[in-house]
Amino acid sequence: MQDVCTDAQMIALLEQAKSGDSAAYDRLYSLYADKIFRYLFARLGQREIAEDLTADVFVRLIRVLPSYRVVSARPVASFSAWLYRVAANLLTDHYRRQRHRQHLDIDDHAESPSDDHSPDVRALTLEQDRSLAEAIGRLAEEQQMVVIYRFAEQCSVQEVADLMGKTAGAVKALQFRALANLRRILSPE
Amino acid sequence: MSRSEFNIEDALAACLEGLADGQSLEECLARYPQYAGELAPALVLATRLRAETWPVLSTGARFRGRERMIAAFESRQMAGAWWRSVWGQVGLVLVMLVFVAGVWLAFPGRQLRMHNRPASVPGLIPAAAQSATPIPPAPTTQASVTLTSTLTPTATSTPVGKVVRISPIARTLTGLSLSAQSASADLTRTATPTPPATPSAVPEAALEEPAGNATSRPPDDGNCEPGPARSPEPTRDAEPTRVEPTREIPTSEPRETPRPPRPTAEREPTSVSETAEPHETAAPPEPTDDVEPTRQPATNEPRPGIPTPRPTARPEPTDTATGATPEAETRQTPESHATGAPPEPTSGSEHSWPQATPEAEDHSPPEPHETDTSSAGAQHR
Repeated sequence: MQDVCTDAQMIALLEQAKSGDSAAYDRLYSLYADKIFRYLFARLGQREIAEDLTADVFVRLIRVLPSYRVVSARPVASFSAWLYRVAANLLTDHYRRQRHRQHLDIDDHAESPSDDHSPDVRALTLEQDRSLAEAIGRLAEEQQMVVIYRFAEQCSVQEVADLMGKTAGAVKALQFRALANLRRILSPE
Repeated sequence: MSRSEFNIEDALAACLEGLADGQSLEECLARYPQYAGELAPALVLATRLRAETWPVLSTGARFRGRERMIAAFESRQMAGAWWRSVWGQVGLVLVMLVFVAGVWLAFPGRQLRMHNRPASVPGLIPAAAQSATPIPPAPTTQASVTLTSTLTPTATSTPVGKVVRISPIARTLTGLSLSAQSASADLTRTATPTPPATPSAVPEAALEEPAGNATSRPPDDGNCEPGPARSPEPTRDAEPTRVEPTREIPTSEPRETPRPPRPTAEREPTSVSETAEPHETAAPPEPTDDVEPTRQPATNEPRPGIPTPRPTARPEPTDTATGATPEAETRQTPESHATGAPPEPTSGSEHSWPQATPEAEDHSPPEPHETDTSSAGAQHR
């Protein structure tokens, strides 16, 4: 995991943020903005929406952090998992709104992302390779989390287990199934 | 989940760890030959995912996101402060209510006792009211005010004497606990004559000296020429013993400088009958008599050769004196009445009369300023 602060530093940072220190919030933003954005982008496949949702995550953080209870055992993993959960909830809300809008606008049906499949873009980066991002988006939520933690954030199995609150074996199983499903999605057939 | 699947999951995790440590794909697959067919596509996909350039926030999006967060933080802080203040006030009110309720419950019969108290002691309040009425603070205040008004003209000598007389009256009023109206009326009565400052001295002296109290009467106040009045030679009528006032006249403050009693028996007898310094021995003021002498001197004021002593030196307060003329004028005029002749400008001291004292000693005309006032008063009387 690439967190730049230790557990003790994270505890102090969270306490400062809970006490109303704006600098602590700024520090948390610097630490987690890119991670949350990657997570959202990996699940959405659209930069603009991912950016907006990233900002929404930190606005909500200000509202809900005072009620967050710091876990002294693994403060960094606990807080990271909690913050990803916040982002996941926002994403769920976004999907819900989008689904409602699609029901209202029938013409949006032709704009589905799955229509853009093209093997030529696979050589591009993930931002340009929309097929890969869309494939990740089709995975189950836990499989998405494992893929993002393991390959985007370069976390170890144990760290992902800590983030997700699962055992290392469960994370290994999720990892295997995520890769199998992703390969199936990406296959031309 | 079968045993082989569990194993292939462990094999996949081990191969991913080996790839992360720098092992090649073949080396990893060689360790798990039974799962090589299934592990190979998964490891290829994993390598691809790790090789991907995962996006990061653009600079603009990072700035906007930070701004939104700070704005939300500040708005929340303000809202929190408002709610804290509201709840703080509500809590304070509740605490006060609880305190009052506790006190009320602790002393349940308190209200009844408070209601019954006036009825149980009915005579207290009327008695207090009666005792309070005789000594109102108003008379004292009124007296002090009157004193202040009379003190204002102290630039001249005569009002000082008046002040001395009024203060005992005020004290008397206070001591006797008279009503405020009676005290103010008396003070007004006594104070009214004083404004015509210079003339008032004349009748007072005239009243006193017939009685012969000049020596026996104690000085009212140290300010008023203690020496001359107590001098043992109060020759009343014919002897112009006290001629000293002439010195004072040029100086604008005659009364302030205490003059030693100068029994000037060897002085030239002037026509002035009474000596100066009527102020100390002045009898209780009689307003009506005082006013008249002042008017006459005004007419006699312009002497041909004598400059009017009025000038600058004496600030004449006109507030108390109703149309009062400067002291010098009033003192000059009686002179004419007493002597029957205007001051003779014989020695050339006329020009310097208001100022030069030595000349005044030699010649009588300047002197009578004090004496002539008394004589004038006597004449009028």
